[in-house]
Amino acid sequence: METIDPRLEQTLETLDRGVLLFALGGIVFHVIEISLAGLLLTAAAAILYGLVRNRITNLDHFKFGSALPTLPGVNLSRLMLVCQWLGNQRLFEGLLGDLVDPEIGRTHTTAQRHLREALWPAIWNRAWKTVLDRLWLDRFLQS
Amino acid sequence: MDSSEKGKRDFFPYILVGLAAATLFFLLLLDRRAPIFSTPAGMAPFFFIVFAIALTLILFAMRTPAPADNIGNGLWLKWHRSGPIGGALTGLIFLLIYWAYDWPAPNRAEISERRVNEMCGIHPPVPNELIIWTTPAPISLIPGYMLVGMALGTVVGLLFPRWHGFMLRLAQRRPAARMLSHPYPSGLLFGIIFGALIGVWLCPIIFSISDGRPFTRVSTSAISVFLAVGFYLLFEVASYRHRMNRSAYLTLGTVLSVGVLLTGLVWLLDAQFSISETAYCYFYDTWNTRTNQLKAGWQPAIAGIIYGSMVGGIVMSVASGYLIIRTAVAQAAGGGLSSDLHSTGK
Repeated sequence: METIDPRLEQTLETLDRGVLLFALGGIVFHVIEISLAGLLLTAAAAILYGLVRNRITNLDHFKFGSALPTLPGVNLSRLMLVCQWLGNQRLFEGLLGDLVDPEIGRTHTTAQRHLREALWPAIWNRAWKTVLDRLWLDRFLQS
Repeated sequence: MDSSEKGKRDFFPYILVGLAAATLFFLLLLDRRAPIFSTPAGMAPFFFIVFAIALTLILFAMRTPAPADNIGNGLWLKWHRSGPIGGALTGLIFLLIYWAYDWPAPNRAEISERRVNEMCGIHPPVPNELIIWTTPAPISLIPGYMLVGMALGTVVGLLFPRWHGFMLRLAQRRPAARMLSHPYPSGLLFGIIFGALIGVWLCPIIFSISDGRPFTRVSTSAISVFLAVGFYLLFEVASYRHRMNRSAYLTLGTVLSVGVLLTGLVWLLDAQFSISETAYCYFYDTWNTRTNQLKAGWQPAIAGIIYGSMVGGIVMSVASGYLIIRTAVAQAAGGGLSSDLHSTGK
């Protein structure tokens, strides 16, 4: 697959903004109207859009020359999927390095705890940054 | 394409058509008992997001090579199978839309015998004991709808090619009839004539079953046909997206726009002039409520002819657009199927 051209990237960003504004508007509307089903469905559709959009866009930015190592108790393909969705190859490589560390990757429990502690803040941070950026509030990202 | 990609299935058409089907189904569910969205305006954000997902899928699917799958060189729905299979699927879609749009619900005034006195202004009113108050389970209607759809699809699949061949020969002999050799007017005329013939036989049968089901509105028929044909079109176009050229996309856009406009027009006229209610009252007038039989005479047949030709015209006007698109896709694919489609008269 070839890399995404800037025009397409720009189009997708505009689409992101539209989806975000519609999602926020829809959620506010359904809260006012007290329609839980509508609220949940709008939120689910917006999350699905985010997942589809990120997954597809980041397919190009995630390539490995060598085969992945096997680690006991860790599903690396699932971890790669999450990192691919986040569009962060460095995070994947960093986590892989951590898991090779005998202190962290010794047992299934310690490995899972380490992954949880690293991935949840990364997901939250990514989502927050994207929301601020798409709402033209990226100046707040500096602080 | 390398050999590892051979035999890999292309799920994009399934995702796209499923997404479109689910979205449109939500639109119809809105009018039912428990609307998912509090008001029609409340569903606009959801629609926008779903279409954004579809747009993202399309944008990226256009850039990636489609894996070779087992569809082969021909179109997904083969010409010789398209009649019965397309008919059965259309029957199912028809029932689904009928259930979502016409079925009794507290916030809907359905067209049925339960409302006949107020709707048709019958004097003296039909007594309560002669009115069927129960409604059949929609699931029990599935076999009937699929079988009738399959039978009608088979009739259309067998007869339309011969009809179109006859029209082509007629146009060669009489230049004045040249306009009818085009698939669209030919299909429309076929729909009106065969719709009338089928309607005169089928409408009284369906009406005389009289098991409490509501009457299918004309707008429901138009929506069902448009959605059914639209889904097949979308499916085939999505499957063959890499072979579609500019003119094929233009034809697709034109056919879909005409379909939307026609459906919208039928919907508007039906709502504005109460065509479905009038048709129902006309049918009901042909029905002897005391003996539970159709009245003798031409009235039931005339009602069947009018209703059948109307629905037949709607069906074939959309189906002709489908045929035109198939031809366009086949030509874009290298003409492999065009001979198949044009051999309709053989």
